[in-house]
Amino acid sequence: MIKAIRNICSVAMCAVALVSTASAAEDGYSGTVCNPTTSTDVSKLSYSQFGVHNTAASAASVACGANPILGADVNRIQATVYDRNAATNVCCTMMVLNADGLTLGSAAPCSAGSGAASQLLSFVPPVNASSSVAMVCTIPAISGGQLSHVTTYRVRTT
Amino acid sequence: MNRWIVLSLSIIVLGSGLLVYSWRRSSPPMDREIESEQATAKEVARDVRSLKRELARIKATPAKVVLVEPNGVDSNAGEEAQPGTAFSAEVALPAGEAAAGVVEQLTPEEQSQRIATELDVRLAGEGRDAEWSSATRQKILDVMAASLPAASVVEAECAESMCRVVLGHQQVAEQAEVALAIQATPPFSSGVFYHYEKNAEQPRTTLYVLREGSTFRTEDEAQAL
Repeated sequence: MIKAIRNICSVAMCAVALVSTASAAEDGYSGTVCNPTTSTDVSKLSYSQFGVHNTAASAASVACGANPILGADVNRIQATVYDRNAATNVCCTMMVLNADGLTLGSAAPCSAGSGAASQLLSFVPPVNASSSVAMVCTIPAISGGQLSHVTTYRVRTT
Repeated sequence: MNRWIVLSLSIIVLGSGLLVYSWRRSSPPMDREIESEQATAKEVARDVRSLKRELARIKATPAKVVLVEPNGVDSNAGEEAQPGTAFSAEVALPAGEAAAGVVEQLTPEEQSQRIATELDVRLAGEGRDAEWSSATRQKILDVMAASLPAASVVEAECAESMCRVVLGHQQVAEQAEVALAIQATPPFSSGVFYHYEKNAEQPRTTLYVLREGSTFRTEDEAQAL
């Protein structure tokens, strides 16, 4: 009898482990879904397979949304960016929001200098039961004909 | 005749006795297993009763955590104080929450309170990086004065990996402006957790500001992801 109970418990624990593993998810988005934050930035921005980029001689801002599972724990937000401006960095303010739109957690990581390669910006929020995720990025001006981009971003939940 | 009947009955009784005896000799392992299982079941039941009693006791007793700055520096004034001075109010964990691993369905407010309490405990357990702490505290006060002049800084303290800033507001609506005003500015750009208290006599927002390179999650939590 005891052995039977033990076996049933073992099977149940394996099932729980499998379910919890399966519940982790990471959703990826293209920078092409980002929108200019002001009307003056509309004309500065263009879109391509490399997401959104700034073609103007001054910085522009974009807002990028995401829809994690309601009440899920958003445990990482990442953005892949290209910084081609030696004077200014690509900075993204990453926010986990509640249903009222209030910010539960935020961080504003920036690229570390300019270069040809893409760079990864990342934020690990505190444990949360978020309603949504928002990201606002500042893209530096075009520099020497080189464009800076917000290419992709990802939201991981459990 | 009677003698034969008595003899036959005797043989039947003896044979039955022998059969029963031999059957009982062959069955002891099973009996022992049953007895052993019964004993184990009793033991498990006793343990469960004991755990239930312990859980009821924990639920009935709110756990209190007193935050004490390890180096005895009064965090509010930044002046020397007696060693062991409590630098923040006592934090009473809601009844029953001290029991780790208890899975509960929390409201957003309860969850926010729980995270704030956990971060308070973490702060209380940290030492104080004096140089970083005072420099960051000053930066926080400067940003607040410039970006959120309507809010009053009730408390601003830094330990080793994090600072705790308590803001007072005249109106609840002002709380919505806090993150927008400061989140992209250092030291807030490293990461902030916002805890909103709307129902207090004076609305308050508590900010837990990460030091650059630190994280909100413990190593165990990070590994579990």
